[in-house]
Amino acid sequence: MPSLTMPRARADARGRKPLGVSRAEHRWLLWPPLIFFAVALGFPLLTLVRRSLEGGGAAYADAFEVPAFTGSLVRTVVMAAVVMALTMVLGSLYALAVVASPTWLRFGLLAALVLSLWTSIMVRSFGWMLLELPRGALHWFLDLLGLADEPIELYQTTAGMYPAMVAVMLPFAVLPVMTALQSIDRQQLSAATIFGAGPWLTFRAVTWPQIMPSVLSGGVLVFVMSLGFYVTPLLLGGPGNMTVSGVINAQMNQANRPDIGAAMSILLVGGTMVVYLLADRLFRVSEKWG
Amino acid sequence: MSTTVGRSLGRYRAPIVVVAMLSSLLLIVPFLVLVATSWTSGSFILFPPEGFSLDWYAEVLADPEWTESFRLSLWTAALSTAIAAVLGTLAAIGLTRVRHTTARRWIRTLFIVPIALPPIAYAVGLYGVTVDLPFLRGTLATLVVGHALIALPYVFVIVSGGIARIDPALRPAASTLGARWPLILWKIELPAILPYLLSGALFAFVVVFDEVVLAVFLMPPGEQTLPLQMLNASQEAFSPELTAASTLVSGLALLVLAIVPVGRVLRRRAGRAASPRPAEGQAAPEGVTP
Amino acid sequence: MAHIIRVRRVAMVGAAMAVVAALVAGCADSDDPPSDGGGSGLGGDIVWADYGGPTNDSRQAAYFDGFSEETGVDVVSVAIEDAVFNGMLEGDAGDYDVFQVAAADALGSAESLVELPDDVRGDLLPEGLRPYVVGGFYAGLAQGWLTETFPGGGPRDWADFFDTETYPGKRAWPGAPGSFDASYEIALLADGVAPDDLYPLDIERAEARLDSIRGDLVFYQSYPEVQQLLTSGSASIAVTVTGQFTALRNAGADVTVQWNQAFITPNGFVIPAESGNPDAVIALAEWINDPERQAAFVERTLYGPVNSEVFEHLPADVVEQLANSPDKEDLVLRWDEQWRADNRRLMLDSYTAWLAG
Repeated sequence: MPSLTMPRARADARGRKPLGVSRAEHRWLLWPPLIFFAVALGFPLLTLVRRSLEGGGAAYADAFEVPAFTGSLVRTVVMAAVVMALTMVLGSLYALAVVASPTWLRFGLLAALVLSLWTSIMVRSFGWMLLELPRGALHWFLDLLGLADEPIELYQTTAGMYPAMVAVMLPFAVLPVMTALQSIDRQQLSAATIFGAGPWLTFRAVTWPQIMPSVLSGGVLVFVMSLGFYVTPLLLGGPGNMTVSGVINAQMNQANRPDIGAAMSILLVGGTMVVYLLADRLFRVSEKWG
Repeated sequence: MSTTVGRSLGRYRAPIVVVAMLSSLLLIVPFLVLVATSWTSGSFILFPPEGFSLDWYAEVLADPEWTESFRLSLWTAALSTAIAAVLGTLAAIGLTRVRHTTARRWIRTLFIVPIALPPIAYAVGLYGVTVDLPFLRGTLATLVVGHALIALPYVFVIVSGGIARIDPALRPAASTLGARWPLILWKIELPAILPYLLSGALFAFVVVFDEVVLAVFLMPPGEQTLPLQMLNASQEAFSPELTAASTLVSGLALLVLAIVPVGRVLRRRAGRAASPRPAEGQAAPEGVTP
Repeated sequence: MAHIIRVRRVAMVGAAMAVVAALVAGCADSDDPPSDGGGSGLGGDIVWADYGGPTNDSRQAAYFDGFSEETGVDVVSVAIEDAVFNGMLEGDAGDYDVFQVAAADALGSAESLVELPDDVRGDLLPEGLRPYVVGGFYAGLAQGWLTETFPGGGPRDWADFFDTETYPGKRAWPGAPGSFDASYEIALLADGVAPDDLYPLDIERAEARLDSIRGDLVFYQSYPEVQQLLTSGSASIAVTVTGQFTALRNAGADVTVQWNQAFITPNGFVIPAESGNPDAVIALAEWINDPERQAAFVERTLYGPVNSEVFEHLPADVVEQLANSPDKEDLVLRWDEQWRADNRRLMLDSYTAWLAG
């Protein structure tokens, strides 16, 4: 979309709150979602908090007594950070490639995204399992090429887990960036080229500032979603990669301790909010999102 | 357009495209493995498949449990997505009107909480509410509301990334010219964020369409969503019905992806026939927005 | 003027809410009211919470279809959720009229369960369970392999299972958080503990034994993965519920199941105090308890019956495949269900921690 000013001016503008925001505007825009949240999130969350406090708060102490909890918590955060970093890099490149490719290839790249996105995550994890088993599809394929005799040692290793997790998250990083790229100001790009800027300078000065908010969107989504990984790392990475969701599920279901499960969930949500607020401070997400 | 961005990448273009093609293998290869297993003439999922038959497709298409659950999933997900799309967009736009930085930061964090909350915990909380409020039992209302809440952050995050791209000078300009805020919203902001709204809604739909944890808790007896039906098909044995159904869904999605650009081209042709020069300002994103 | 505007706005909000309400009401399922108490005679539906799959298809064919035709009461299967039935076991309200549990679950919660009349009880069930279990069946937990894997005969007991030199290859092992199954018992038996001395379980000793073969284990998250692990040759032996070996046989695979030192345990359904339709469920329990109908179910699933009379209606080749067939009595072991019920939390937490490493 053609814009009247340079986008960089936007990022520099401080105290840029638009003029004349009426109270009616507030009421009509922000209140409906807030009320919806109060009802749809507030009530269930209240049930959860009540449940976690049933034993007078003992559930919070008990949560840390569960031997697998703290370890899995740390592991989950590290895992989410790794997945986010990998996905943001690959996703941005993927989005650039989609926009910069000839039509046939663009369709191929998009088709890959769509096919993956529309396959249930459970089924997809299962596909990865069939692929990575010591004598699975990958072994079968390498065998066809005469490259493999021994079973492949990939299933239930950390190396076998990340590709699947990145694949699950990739569409969430690609699509926002692609959307931004499709509405990029082409006159600026042409201008930069005409005035002799090299590809790197053009990217840094023109393209990057325009897609960066969307790269951040993708990164936020991927990180927070990755905190919820459960079956994929267990199945493909082995039980040594148990995440906090797995521990919470075990407390809620098998252990029949919904109070501990609730306490853990509330700690997880609180922790995520703290991480997010910190990231917001560090990377100024709020400001970049206008 | 593609050529402009493509050209601007210069010598980096080829390596970027190669990386993207390799990344797309992460999406395509497991999918192909799954498709292959659905051709089997055997009675469970194996790779390489035993023989070739389309029996499992016939089985799925002829079984009302599969087709009904697909229909149910389709419309409940559509309803949840619609709610999420409206409220998520309002939230993203409304938040830009909040002047207080800290308030903005906290509200923004609040809108991301539903992704961070483990589904099992949210489901337990929501189920607790339906137990307390018996009139909600036996209806799909709680499921739709719960799914809408889970879906909302996707719309919110992606649209927030898009709002950053709106020229900050437009609002005051329009305001000075006497336009009131609903008009500005309708004529300036909504058109600008529409592509982001669509990407966000796509994510919302896909996530909700595949959601199973809430469904297990909240489905009225006797009704099944597609993910529940898939869960059923993966109990005790992984039936090839599972991969056949999932292939059918992906195929349908691919078909839609292929039809949308064709439709757009036709419409554009029709538009061109009517007026030789389409208005520049309406620059809808070109290329494909799945 | 301002007042009028306000009124108009309020009206608009009202209209908007009405639209939302209409949409939501649209998803309400109007023609299927929640089951009611039934009143006189039998009525309503039975919400039957189970794990689905082929076993429940067999129930549908062996029990439910006939029952519905006879009484007009529909049995509606729903996917069971542990968090829901755990609450109901403690007397909370919930949607299930009858749901599946393991023996240890039922033992601890007798006071929140509806008792069955004397003539509907399975005589092969442990005494503590007899008054509560509807549609019970026996399942085994054993090691098994594709017969071709060990041409000279496979492992004969759990000590052999731990012998990775004589019986090479990966072992498929339960790996979901909380899925301790018989893991500790198996490790202790392999370590030389006599079956009678298993309880109380020495968890530290068991985990040390498990650690010794951890590198040779391949973990599954759900039982059916075993089928892929064995048939692809990725695992040479699997420890799992015997229903998985039955499924492999049904698919044409030649499987050997080692019943020696295998564990057998009863499973079944219980009626919670909060059940919406207990009379109908008791009528269904009576229907299921009929030996001929139970025999039809056993023949389809190869799960063991809970009434001794059922054996009379089964051919010999079926009986020999059942977990609780009379000829296996000297081979198989039983858990101390009460100890496991009392120490569930301990087993779960330590096994989950062991898995996470």
